[in-house]
Amino acid sequence: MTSAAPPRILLVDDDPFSHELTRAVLDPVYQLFAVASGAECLAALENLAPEVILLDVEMPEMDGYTLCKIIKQNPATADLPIIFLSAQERSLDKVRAFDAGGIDYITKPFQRAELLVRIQTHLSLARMGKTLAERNRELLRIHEELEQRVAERTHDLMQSQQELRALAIHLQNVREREAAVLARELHDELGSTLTALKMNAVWLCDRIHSVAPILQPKGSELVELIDQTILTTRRVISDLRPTVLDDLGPCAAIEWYVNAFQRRTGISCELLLADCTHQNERIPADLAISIAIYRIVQESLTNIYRHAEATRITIRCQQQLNTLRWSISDNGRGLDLRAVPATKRQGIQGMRERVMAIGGAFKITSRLGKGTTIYLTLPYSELPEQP
Amino acid sequence: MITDPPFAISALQKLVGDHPDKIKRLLRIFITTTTPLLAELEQAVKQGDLRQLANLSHRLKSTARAIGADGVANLAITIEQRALAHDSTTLGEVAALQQALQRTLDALDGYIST
Repeated sequence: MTSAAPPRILLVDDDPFSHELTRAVLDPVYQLFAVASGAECLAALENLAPEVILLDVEMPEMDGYTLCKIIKQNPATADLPIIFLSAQERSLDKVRAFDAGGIDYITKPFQRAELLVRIQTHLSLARMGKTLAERNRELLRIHEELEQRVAERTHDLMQSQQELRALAIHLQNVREREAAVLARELHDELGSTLTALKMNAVWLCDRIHSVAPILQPKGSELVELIDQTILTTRRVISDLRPTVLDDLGPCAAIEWYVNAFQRRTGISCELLLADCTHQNERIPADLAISIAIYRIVQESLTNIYRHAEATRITIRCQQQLNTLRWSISDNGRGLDLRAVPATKRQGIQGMRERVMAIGGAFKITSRLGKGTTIYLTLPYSELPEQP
Repeated sequence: MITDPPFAISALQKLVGDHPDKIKRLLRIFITTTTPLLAELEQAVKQGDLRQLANLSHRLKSTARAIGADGVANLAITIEQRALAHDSTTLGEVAALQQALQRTLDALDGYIST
């Protein structure tokens, strides 16, 4: 059975007797290498790779303090424990030794047991320090690896979110296009058919009046039903895609929608659109932005009517630098945003997605009994001033 | 008058254990490395070189103590301290050190040859 080689100790001392004495003391616990000068020590360090250095102070050419400082200044050997072995017993000498980077100071002639135990102590400490440093390096490596992985995952997640948002935008656009097509077909096909139907019904009513007066009430009822159907069709067309939105922009469309909403629900609405109501050329040119604003106002008002029990709504639009800041406030019962049920959260999330899709920001504030406010901050590129 | 024993085997035994061969080998090295110091001490006295005298005494004190030559060690300590304090009267004490060292070397010779 083989045992591990004894730890390597380097003695730097110009006295050959010290070499032999120290070797006799340390053998066989440690393997001693001895050199007689600082220069020999520096030349031998790399090849010998000792674990502890025993260093005499008084030596010709280079004293122990100087040698110790040189060894400590070299990063490759800075952690090497250096124990001074000196016949000098004065405190000043010991202080200089520790200042130079020595880890211990043993007075010569030394006691065998003391020398052995001190070497063992510093050897153990140095090995523990080395292990600790290695573990620290390993921990640092693991930490960096984790950071890297988190960064990659975050990037992937952000990419997925962007893709989902892009998909949502695409779906909305498709829905808007289909709604527009449907609205047009309803207007062109059903609208004209209903108009023709009404004209024929009115004509019939006129004839029935002289031929069979008893049928007159039924004829009038028929015309009334056709009128109601025409109104319903117009409302459906408007809900699908109000033509005013395409023709006059979001502010005019919102004004039109809000007026209809007031009439239908009886909820008082205040519109503060000073920054865009009368200046159509300042309406955001991008149709996607117009649609987003209009749809969010539409959804907000529908939500207020259904859930808020509000009696008053204020819609405000202000231009600030390169943004349009919209707010929709009500005086309704408010809601606890932390306890909003999933179904309603989806509605809020949908509005948020719409705003983010056009590069804007969305915020909602509410307190129970104090109403709710929705804030939209949208990009706005000002058109050049007209001369 | 010198009363201390010229050396003490027990001092070395404490350091390296009871290994006669090892001890004799160390003593031989002591003789080899220390004998030249006699002449070097002489030279330092002749030149009145207190610094060199301090160096030589310094070397002697710990090696002499290691082999239990306390008489040599004590004289070396005194001379080193005075030489370091630039006290030239210590030059007159070197003869006693040389005498004590010579006595130790002679005794070691006798011990090794047994």
